[in-house]
Parts: sequence; C-alpha cells; structure tokens
Amino acid sequence: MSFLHAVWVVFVKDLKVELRTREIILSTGLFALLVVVLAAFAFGLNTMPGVDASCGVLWIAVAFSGILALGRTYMRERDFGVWTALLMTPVPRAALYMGKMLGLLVFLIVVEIVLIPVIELFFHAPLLANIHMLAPILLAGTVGYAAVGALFGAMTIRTRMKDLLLGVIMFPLIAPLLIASVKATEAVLAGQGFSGASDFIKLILIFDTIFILGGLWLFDVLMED
Amino acid sequence: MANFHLSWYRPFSMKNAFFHALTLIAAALLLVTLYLVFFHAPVEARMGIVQKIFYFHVPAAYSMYLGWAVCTFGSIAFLIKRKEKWDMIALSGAELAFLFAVVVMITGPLWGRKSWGAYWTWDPRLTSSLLLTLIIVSYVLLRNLASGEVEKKFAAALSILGACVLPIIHLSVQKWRGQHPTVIGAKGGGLAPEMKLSFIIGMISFTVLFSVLLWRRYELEKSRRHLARLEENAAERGLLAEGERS
Repeated sequence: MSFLHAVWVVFVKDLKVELRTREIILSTGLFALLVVVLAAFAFGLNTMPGVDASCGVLWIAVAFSGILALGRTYMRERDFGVWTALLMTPVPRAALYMGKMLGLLVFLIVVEIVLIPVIELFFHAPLLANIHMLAPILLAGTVGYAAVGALFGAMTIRTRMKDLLLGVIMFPLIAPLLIASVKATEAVLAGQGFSGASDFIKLILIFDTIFILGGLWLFDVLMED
Repeated sequence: MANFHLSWYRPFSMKNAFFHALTLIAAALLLVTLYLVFFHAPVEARMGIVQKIFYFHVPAAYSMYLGWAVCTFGSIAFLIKRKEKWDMIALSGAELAFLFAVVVMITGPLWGRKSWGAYWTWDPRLTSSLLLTLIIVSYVLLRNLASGEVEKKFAAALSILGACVLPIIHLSVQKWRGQHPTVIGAKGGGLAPEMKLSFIIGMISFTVLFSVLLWRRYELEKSRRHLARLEENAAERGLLAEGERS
C-alpha cells in the first residue's frame, strides 16, 4: 500500500464513521455556533461590534470548537482498541497522521461553512460577498490548525492526560496562526484584496509548512513504543 | 546503576570543586553587578532610578531564551539518541526558562509603567515574550502533571515546534502591531560607557548563574530518578511498603 493510498484509507475511514454517527460535526458545529452567539451577547447587542470583531469571532469559534473535534476524533480510536489495530497495520505512521489531519480538516471546513452565514447574519460582516478570497485564507488557516491538532490530539490516546492539557498546549502554539489568519481575513473584508493580506497569507503558509513537516517527522517518533 | 554516585558524598572530586568554584564566581559576579548598577552607572536622566531595572530585565530575558534553547537542543538530542540524559537536560532548561520568564514578566511591566505610562502594551517584543512564556508554562505543566515515557516525547515535540514557531510569532506580531521602533531596542546603542560596563557584567553574571542553576537542576533530576528506581527496586523485593515511597 503506497503512502498516499494509506492516507486515503485512513481519511475515508474517518469520514465513514462520521457520516454514520455525525457526532463530531453536530457537536462541534453547535458549539461553534454557541461561541458566535455568546460573542454577540458579550459585545453588546445594541452597539454593532462591526467587521473587525467578526473576523476575531470567526477564528475564535474555529479554534475553540476545533479542540472539541480533535479530542473526539482521537478518543473514538480508543474504543475497541482501534488505534492499536491501526498501529499494527503495515503503513507508515506518518500516513496515519496525514489521514487524521485531512479528516480533521474536512470536519472543520464543514463547521466553517455553517459559521460564515451565521456570522454574516449576526455581525453584518460582508463574508459571503468576499467568499472567493476568504475561502483560500480559511483553508490555509485551517490546514495549519489541523496540522498542529492532529499531532497533539494524539496525546489523548497515548498519555494519561487525555484532553486535559490539549487546549493549554495547542493555543500558545497556534497563536501566531490565529493572528495571521484574523489579520488576513480583516484585510480581505476591508476590501484590500489579496495584496493587502499577502504578508499574512505568507505567514500562514510558512506556519502550515513547518507544522506539516514537523508533524510527519514527529508523529512517527511519538507513536513508537 | 552501579556506577551512579552521589556527588556530594565525595567532597574532593574535581567535578564538585569546579561546581563550588563556579557557584562562588556567580555569587561574586552578581555582587559586582549590583555594585556597578547602583554605584557606578549614572542615574538615567529621563527614567530616573527605574532605569536600573534594565540591568536585570535584559539579562533575564536573554536567560529565558537561553533556557528554551537548551530545552530545544536537549529535546532534539533526546528524540534522536533516546538517552535519558538529554531529556533531563531539556527539562532543566525549560524550568530555568520558566524561572527567568517570571523575572522578565515582573520586571518588564515595572519598566513599562515608567517608560510608557502603562504596565502593559501590545508591543511586538512584549507580545512575543508573553507567547514564549505561555509555551514554556505549558511545557512545564505537561512535565509536572505526567512523567511517563510518552509524555516525555510529546513534551520534546512541543519544545521543538515551540522553537520553530518563535520566528513566526515574531514576524506575525510585528506585522500585527506595525513596525514602530521599540524603546528598549533604541537604548542599546546609546548607553553611556558606565552603563555599558554594568550591562555587560550583568549579562556575564547571569550567564554564569544560569550555568550553575542548570548544572544543579540536572544533578537533582538525576538523583531524583535514581531514587525512584531504587524505591521501585526495593518495593519489588518487598523491602518497602507502598506507603513509605516518596
């Protein structure tokens, strides 16, 4: 089984499980929506918080609900010893990482598809009108998030800590990604186009590259006994 | 296990003598630094006496980065060579980074209050230091809450990726806040000669202090793990009741 084939098989397995249970997308999606609603309350309903706040709310909702998704995507591998079985299959561990990462990416993208119209509705931000420029930024930012998440999410099955420390470890690491993503989104919404956001998009892409390469190397090391 | 020795039971070993000498040098250098800071360096015109924080703040920040560098280096070596020694070095480095991060985070706002009129501003350098501090805290927390082999590897991964992410943090924060000049950066070039001497001696004394602490922390970790193994051994042979273990 080639590397890419193994990645595909793990990815499709995660999708199939999710399509049957729908637990990750439903719980994560609802949680993300609640973050948006609570943010709207927190900013005050009478004074419209405006476009800048909406970018922050979008990414905070993704970051917080993502923790839920990646904890769950690994936790269900614990049941019935699925993870042990996966580790025993003759595929590179890095392929498991990539498969998990892609699965997480798809779940988060589904959540984002739900979030965008809701944020547009609540915050009056022109997200849908700029969706052709927003989509690549969302994708690039989410790839970085999934790359970090798929690596440290494995802590929940490998260590006693479960998901206790997941957020504590994830958030400082993704802070620069969050800054760059929010700023890139802001630039696009302000009508500056890709040229206004280019510095931040470059930063997101560098982040993605570092964490995917780091993940591919480290996952192998973290999963061996 | 047989070749393990408790270094303080052998008062005349070269290693021990060198350690004590280094400790004395660190203490002497710190006293010299204090003398230079308060009696040699002039009181800065605009900032007044508060400017003297600079002589401790900057070396502490440098020691924080040094500690994280030691931690990252130890982590890479640990993942490649799988020797427990490297893990102990990484842990010691991270704890020192944490210690100096606390010093930085206390002295920094005191300086800022006088210089900028606020304890905290979202200046690029402050933001980068804060994010590094948070990464260090999460590393130390992970190491303290669990001590299994897998946690060691995850902590090493965190340390390496944390170091990789530092330049990105720096760049994104700079772009985020716009590149306005930093007060501390501008000061570096314009120090009076007496100030420069105090600053350089301060940096040297913090480097020696860092080495002493790193060494001691490493030896402590070595003894701690040795004790844990001995207790495990004793418990296996039924020499130690479960409640007696430390």
